[in-house]
Amino acid sequence: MQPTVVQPVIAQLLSQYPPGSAVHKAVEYGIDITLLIENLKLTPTQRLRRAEQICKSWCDFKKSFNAQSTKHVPRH
Amino acid sequence: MVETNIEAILTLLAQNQIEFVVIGGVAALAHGSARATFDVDVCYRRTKENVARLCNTLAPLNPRLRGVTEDIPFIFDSESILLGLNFTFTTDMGDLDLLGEVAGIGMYDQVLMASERGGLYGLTMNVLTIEGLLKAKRAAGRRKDLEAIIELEALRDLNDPPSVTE
Repeated sequence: MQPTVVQPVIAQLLSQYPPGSAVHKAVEYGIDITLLIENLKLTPTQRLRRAEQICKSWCDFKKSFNAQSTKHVPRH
Repeated sequence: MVETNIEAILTLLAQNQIEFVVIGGVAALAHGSARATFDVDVCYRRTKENVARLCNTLAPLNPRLRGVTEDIPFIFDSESILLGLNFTFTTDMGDLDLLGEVAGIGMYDQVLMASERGGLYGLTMNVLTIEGLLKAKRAAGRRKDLEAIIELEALRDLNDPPSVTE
């Protein structure tokens, strides 16, 4: 198993929290803490509007993919 | 699948003086969560007056039970809502869950006590606190909530960083 590579920005953040803290646990679990930090810079309304925009983009992508995709037919 | 319009649904409820608390994924998003959510969950007060206002407000959105075949009859009115408790609906504005009770917290009055008043979309709304969300997620005990719990606990720490003198 490869050792976890911690980005400098995350390493700097982790240094502010004691080992075993919730922030450390989240990073160890694989949660992208940089997304949370960016969200916390926004107001609650901005956070919701951003999330809605992401969901809308995801739905648009899914519709487009479903409309254009064709199934692979196995060759015999 | 209708894309859920979080802003339109919450604004509609707030502007019509519905007594409700924003809970679930939308509350988590308001606190900074990065997890996607595709429905709006609210806890509503189960008084006759509030349920009547709720039904009058939502009826134009054509609420129907989510995941239920069309041939199963359901009338969206006060009587139906008061006979039940927690409902999952699809509406013309997207998916909306109405909960009379939240696991781990209780009925509307307890949920309100576990909420904070804050500005959303230019209106003042009650939003379940991070602590409240954690109680609800822990009580639900679903495997999918484990990641949400870890994220919420991290958000709680990030919102309240340790003192530099510690």
